[in-house]
Amino acid sequence: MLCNREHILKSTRRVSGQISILEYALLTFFVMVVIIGLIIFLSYWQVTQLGVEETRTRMDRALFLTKHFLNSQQFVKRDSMFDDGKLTALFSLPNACEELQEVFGLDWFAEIRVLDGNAPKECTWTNYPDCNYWSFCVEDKSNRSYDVPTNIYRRIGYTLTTGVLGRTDIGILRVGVYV
Amino acid sequence: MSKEGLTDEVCPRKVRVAKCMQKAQTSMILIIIVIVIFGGLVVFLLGFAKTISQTEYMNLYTHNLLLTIMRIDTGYTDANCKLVSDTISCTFFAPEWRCGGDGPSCLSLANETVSNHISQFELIQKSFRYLLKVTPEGFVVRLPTGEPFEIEIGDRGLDTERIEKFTASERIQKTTTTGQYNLRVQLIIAKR
Repeated sequence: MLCNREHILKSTRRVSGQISILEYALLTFFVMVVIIGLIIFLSYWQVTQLGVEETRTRMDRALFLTKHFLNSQQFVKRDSMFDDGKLTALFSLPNACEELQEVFGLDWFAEIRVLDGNAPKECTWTNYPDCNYWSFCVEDKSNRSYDVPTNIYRRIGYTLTTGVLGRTDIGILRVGVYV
Repeated sequence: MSKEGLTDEVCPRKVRVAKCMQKAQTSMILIIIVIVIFGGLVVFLLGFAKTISQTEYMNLYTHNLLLTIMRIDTGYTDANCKLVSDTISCTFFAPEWRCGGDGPSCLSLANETVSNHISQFELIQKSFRYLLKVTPEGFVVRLPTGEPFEIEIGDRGLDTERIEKFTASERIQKTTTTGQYNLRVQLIIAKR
């Protein structure tokens, strides 16, 4: 009976030791999992924030270009009112996009459209003033853009017996950057 | 002899079991603390996550929308009705005037032109409500009932709602024989 008791005590001691080792191993494993999870999360978070920062930089540039277009004397009669004569003259230049890229940089585009309910019709000297759309540096690429309401001053607005009167129409300016 | 050299007489089995349980409980508490710290860290970091704010764009959009609407030609050539701002001004100072001689009243034309043009913008159509409000500054115009007159075109409840709104203001100046008067034009837009 004494032998049995000693045998039982030895076995119990061995099992207790094994349980303790297992306990510490499990705890260590869990802490490692948490640390690795934290590293993965922080890495993912950094990458996401870098992406957001990049997008914000692009959108800031698009907004800057929009504000510049609304006030640039190359296009407007007064702030936020485009002059259709100036737009048509600029649009008709053979290298209009390249000329504007020297001022505004690369990878952007602009569109101005009169909201007259008609389909967009590009303005050239041959169809002016029977047109309602001007575009600069438009390409088939993915982009991020801003739309802003604007006025377009039509130099030949109303044709009366007494003469020709200008007319201010409503339109939309879209300025974007390519991604 | 048990592991700690304790016999059942010195340290009863119940006490040894209790010690084991205490140790297990301590480990569990440690694990829970680590989980809570990790979760707290995640929430803290997410609070500093950068997002793209559209406030500057929306302010620019609202201001330009108001400016654009005020400057539109209505199609009439008489001075009281040529631009939308003229018709709004005419509503206060010459309410009996008919545009084009026998056409609509200034208020009716202003209402129609503003509503039609603002609703042409996709952003407004799809996502935003608007209210155009015109109030006299420094003087009062009264209706025959005695109530003060002001123009409101759009969603009238927007003015008093406590939600995120974007507001733009402009002023229309009118010089008459009795002096110079100002009308305050306010455009408020808010998400649907």
